[in-house]
Amino acid sequence: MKALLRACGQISFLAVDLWFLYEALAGSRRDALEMAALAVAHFLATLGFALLATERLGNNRLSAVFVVTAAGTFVPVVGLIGAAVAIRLAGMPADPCPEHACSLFDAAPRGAKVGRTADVPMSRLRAVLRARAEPKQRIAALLEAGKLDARSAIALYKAALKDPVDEVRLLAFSKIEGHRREIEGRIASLRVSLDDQQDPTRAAVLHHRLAEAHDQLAFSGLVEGDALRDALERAADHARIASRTECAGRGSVLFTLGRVLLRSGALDQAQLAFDEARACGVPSRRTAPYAAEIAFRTRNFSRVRAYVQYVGGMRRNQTRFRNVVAFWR
Amino acid sequence: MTFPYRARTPIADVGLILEGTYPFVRGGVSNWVDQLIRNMPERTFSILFIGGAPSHYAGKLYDTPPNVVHLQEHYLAAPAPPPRRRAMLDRSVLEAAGRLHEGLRATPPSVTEADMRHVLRACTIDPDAMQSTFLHARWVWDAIVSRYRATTAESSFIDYFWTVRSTHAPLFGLARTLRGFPPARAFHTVSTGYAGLAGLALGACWNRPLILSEHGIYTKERIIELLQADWLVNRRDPKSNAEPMRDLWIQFFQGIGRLVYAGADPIVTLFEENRKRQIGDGAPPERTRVVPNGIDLGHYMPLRDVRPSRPPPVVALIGRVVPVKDVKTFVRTMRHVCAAIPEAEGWIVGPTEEDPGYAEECRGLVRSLGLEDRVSFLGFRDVREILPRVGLLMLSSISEAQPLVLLEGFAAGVPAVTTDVGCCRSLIEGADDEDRAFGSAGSVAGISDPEALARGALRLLRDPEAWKAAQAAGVRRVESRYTIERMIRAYESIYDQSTRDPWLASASNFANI
Repeated sequence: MKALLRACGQISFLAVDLWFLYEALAGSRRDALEMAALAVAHFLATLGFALLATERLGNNRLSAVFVVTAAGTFVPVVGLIGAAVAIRLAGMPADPCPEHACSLFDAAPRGAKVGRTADVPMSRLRAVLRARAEPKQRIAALLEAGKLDARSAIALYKAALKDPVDEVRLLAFSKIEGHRREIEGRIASLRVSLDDQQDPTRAAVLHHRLAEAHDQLAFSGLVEGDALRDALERAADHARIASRTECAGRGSVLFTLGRVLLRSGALDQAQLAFDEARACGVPSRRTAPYAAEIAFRTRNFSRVRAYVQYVGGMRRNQTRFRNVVAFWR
Repeated sequence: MTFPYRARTPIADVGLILEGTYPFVRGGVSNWVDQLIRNMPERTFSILFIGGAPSHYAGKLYDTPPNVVHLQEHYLAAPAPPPRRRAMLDRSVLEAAGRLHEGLRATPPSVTEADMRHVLRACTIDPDAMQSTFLHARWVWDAIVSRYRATTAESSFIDYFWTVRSTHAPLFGLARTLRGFPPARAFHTVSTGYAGLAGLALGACWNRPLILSEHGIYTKERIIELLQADWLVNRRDPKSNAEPMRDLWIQFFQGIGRLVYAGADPIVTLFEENRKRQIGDGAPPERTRVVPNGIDLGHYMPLRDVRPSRPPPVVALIGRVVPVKDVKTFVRTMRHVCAAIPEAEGWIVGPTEEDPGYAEECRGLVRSLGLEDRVSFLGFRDVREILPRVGLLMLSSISEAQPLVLLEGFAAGVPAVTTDVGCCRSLIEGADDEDRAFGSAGSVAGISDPEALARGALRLLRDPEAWKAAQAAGVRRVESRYTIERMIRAYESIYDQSTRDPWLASASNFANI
């Protein structure tokens, strides 16, 4: 009944809007006052339509209302280019992770540093770096970023690589290299151990750790482009090899494999890996966020909502999940 | 008290004070010093080499030419022996030292030449008294306590006290070494830091000028090292979140830098941006000047004739295998290049002994990226043997000044792809309108960006016309602006001005100082 009412509202606003538009553009000759009144009425009708049409978009609703209203109002008046300019001026929200695969629920792989993000607001550090404050303050911001989780810190360090001051740039570089050296060193020593390993069960453990280390390179944003693809391929290869061995930790291996495949965009294979992981004893509450991610990417929004409710119930006390659940409610 | 040097060693025209470079370390600065000495055979040089610890060096890596009449080594890590006697510095020296410290902390720094000379001379002539005073004098203790209360009273005094002592400890041994270093008509250092301070002290003792030629900016490099130093990480003040001990170390090197800038004349660097940086760090603008690097074109021009007609798909990084060259980014770049041009090769041409751990990490990266048959470590080689066989030079460094290897490559007809550090962009694209008219001699990318470096390399390797245009631009640029003759003429003039005092013609005058 509610949906029917909403649909009726939308249709009526659309009809009123179109009528105003027709009157304004194709009607008989009018004076300026009448034209202005029609333009305002057209705008209000478009706004009403946008408010009703975007009701389900939660946190993004404001942007969506603006886009729909701007398009509806300005396209007939100033054409597509004008509407595009209006939208651009409004500042669309940026892609949160433009450079590497990410997930709404993404969690750090095992071994990745998880920092006290609550104590060190990333937005403040980013603002210091962006505002081109005194170099000393930017250096202090970079040093403080060390308290963040690795992925957040590396995102800040990468931004600072373009800083005009050498000290800031080189400090950022050295911090990134420090993270990279730690993971690459771990990979190198695991490979040496693997070469010497004869026992298949222990070899499977080493393959699993190698998969996690390569996954961590990708997760942290330390590799991009071809190198990112390469890291994910290697992680998947090692996880597949490890998963062929029947052992107590096979579920965990499959879980890692699922996450790597999800990051790679191989959604079907990822889903399969998570299903197998569950069959091997990995609890649903661990795989559900990733299942939600897969459902989201395959545009199955009702499943997303179901998974999110499930995860929300499990992780009621975690702020970041509360926000996600609220978004999808 | 007289200066204890006895004039048995010949007095040189120029006393070169060098920290961590020629003749024990290979690299751009060392090559520059070698060039300078060899191209001025009529002048004599004495050299004081200042290093970290003897174990860091594998002996002399350059044959010093006959006009090097004296070579002395000093290692900062060697602990200074306890003072031989309990003499103390004169009260007037302590007061001058107090004024000097205050002046160095001021913005802009305000240091009087008289105080500077008085303190440096007293400390160099009687290092035992300097050490005794610093370790035992009530006046020094009071100065440390008062400074601690004024600045970092929230943090640990023990940390503060020992940091002050640690920063000054290398100076005791250095002062003893300076007592035995022969006089010269002028002193010349290629950095501030300990070498700059030593040059300043010798200049103060012998009443001779100090010439400073900075390639990179020493203070900046030390600051970056200190910011990364793990051993300082846990010394954060819990209340202010500041790191007073790290700041103390940084202030120490900044103070030395300001002191050397206050005493050196002229203050030379390689390009305009560095000159501005020196001024920002306290160098008096009227004493600064730019003298770009230069190379001997005759050594490299013949190499153009032996090059193949098409650029070989070989990208070479010529330089020491050390973190500042970011060799790992070169390796990652080669992964992209080899993916696009399977027959491409990457050559890393340079010594690996300076940082064996880092070299091993680079080799490990080559293995982990599956590039064993594409990327080779050739070790130290004569660049004239290498340049005709490569299609492109690449510098992936995170910090450079004015890399000689780019100029050598241009002269040999090899374009380059570099990171945007030092004056690499000016070398590739031109420093001013007239220079830019020659065209681009390659391409420039941001630091730590293998994909951008690879794009630049692929554009040139795949398009022979673009490659030839870049080659021609590089040749014209180096021939018009970066010749050894220009550089040597500039330094001849600097040395002439600094050493022409006729009073110095006789060594006996030195003995009377």
